[in-house]
Amino acid sequence: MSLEVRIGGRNRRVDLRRDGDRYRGRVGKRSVEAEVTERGPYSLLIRLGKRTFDVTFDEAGTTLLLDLGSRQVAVEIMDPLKGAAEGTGIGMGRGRREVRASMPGKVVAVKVKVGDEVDKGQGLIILEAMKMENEVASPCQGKVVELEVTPGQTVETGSLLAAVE
Amino acid sequence: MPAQRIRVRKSSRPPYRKVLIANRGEIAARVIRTCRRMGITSVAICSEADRGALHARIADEARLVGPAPSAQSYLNLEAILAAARQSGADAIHPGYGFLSENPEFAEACRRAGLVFIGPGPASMRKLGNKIQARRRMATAGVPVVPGLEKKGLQEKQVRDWARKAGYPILLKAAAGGGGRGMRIVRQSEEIGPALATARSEARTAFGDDTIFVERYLEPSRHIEVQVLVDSQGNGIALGERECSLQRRHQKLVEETPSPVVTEVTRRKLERWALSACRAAGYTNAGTVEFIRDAEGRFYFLEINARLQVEHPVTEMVMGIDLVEAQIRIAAGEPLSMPRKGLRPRGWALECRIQAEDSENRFRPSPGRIRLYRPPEGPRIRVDSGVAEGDEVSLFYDSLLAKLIVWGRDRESAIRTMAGSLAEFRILGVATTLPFHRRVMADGEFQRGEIDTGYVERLLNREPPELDDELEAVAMVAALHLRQRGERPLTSGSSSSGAWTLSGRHGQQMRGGFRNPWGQS
Repeated sequence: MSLEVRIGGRNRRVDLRRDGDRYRGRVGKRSVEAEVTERGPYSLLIRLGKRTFDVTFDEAGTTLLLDLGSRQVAVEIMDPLKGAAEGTGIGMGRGRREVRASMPGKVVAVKVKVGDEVDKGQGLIILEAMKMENEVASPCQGKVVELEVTPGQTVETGSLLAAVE
Repeated sequence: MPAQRIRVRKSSRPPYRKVLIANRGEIAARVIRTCRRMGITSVAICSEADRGALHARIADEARLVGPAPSAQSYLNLEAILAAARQSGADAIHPGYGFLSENPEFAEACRRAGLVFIGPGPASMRKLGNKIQARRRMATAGVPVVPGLEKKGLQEKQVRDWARKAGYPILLKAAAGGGGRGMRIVRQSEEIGPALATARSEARTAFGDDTIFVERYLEPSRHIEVQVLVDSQGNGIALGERECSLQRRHQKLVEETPSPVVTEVTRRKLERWALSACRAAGYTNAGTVEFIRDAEGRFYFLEINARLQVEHPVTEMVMGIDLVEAQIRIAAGEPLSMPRKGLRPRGWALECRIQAEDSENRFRPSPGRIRLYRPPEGPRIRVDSGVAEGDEVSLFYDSLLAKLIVWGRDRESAIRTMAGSLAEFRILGVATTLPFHRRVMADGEFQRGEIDTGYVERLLNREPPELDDELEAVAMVAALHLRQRGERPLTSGSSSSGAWTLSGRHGQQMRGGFRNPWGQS
């Protein structure tokens, strides 16, 4: 099984075969033989050579967040047909792009109106959580076609904030 | 490490029967534990969002003081005093933040017949005005950053002064705190607008628009001295803490001793710190902050009239419990001074583990903690404010835990810290663990070359590449997890059936399902 995997912002070719709890094959140029033991809902042990790695993991959309101990990495397995993973925080519809909250928080300011022309990266909304303010930026250049929030409102992760077309 | 015994004279009876802790999170938990050890009944307060929080769980009693927003609960003076009255508490420990440096609160406690475990309201007020504090220190012979203080400061006066003193300069609110009413000015044209915004910010935030000017020192180091002063006026200084590793004025890593403080300098700083406290009539535990410029000159910055977040590093090298000292001093017990004074043993480091995504511009990351696995071992201390299953609310500060380690020397403390950070696992919220791991592995940090510009330099460097071995582990983990995942990983994959399998858990597969990977 040969796959393209995105790890730490770079693409890597992986060629691994499974046999029971063992995996054999290649990661990049390295030849790999590993044994996997599952331990509960968030933890794996991976034995590679002389070392055993305690890997804890979490999911965010199609991205896997792995804690390897000395490092944390985000890993995404690429869709072999589209060449890109799906399901980011931003709506993928053609033309109209949805802006969703990437964290829960309180809307402290809305910096644009429906109908405003905005640039990619321009601040649309300011969200506050844990005594910190964070600007939510426009994912693209276009016109603000929807504004779903008003200052003072509380939003959850994934709440629709605005749409830009 | 508990190397030396507590130097506050020990009495067999606890000084109080019952103490209310007017705080939340890790500091409330930490104070509660000292109360427990001393045989004092602890009363926690909590907001509606914190009914099930760790500090409310471990206290002997917990009292609700209001809804989730701090202004209506942890800052609600009347509700907190009412809780103290109803519970029959003798004293209140304010922790840090919230009402800890509020003279009105200290005074209200006194009026209500409660002991406020901290400095008196009068010295808090003296320190609250920064211009007054500066003058007091200068009179006491403690150097202050060169500056200009004049009533109704005019743009021209600032410009004339800055021409001689040199840029950059810092405009500061006399009543200031928390970075509000503060402006850095790098050239003369900016003075007018900066003065106007600093004034208006200060007016809104503190109701006082008095501004003064200081030279802005960069790069600099922030080094502070821990002091204890009893109500008889005996003071001891407990060495320094190096707090230069900051991002946007927020400390991230602290240590003691400082890599740049020699024994001679330490004596000088301790002497200045005690003079500063005397000049302000200060009692109880306090921290005197100094700034060190690139030439190695130290200047007084301010006195923090509270227990600091980073106090455990001092406890580790001095072998004392500062909260116990605070409680005994507040009860009027005198400090007993060791004949040779207290000297630090070894080295201590602290990392603040916050619910912030350090890989994503430190974005706040509230949520439920699904897994919480702190490190273990000798010379390792974890002051947690949360446990597994707890909700990290967006209403409060993002500090989850402090990881504190001790070593014979700085190198071994760093090794212990790096290992502990690798063992520390938190899932459910993004944390600053990756940032701290990177710091411990960084050469500049290891050489002690830290100043207020360090974090920016570190984050501007490319993170070190993942080594082959870790990359292989990550790949095996990813493929294994994707394969047993409930949802198809990607849609429309035609190359292999394995990727469209759904509803297969690893457990089931190991239980005899055919290996969906087949033999390709």
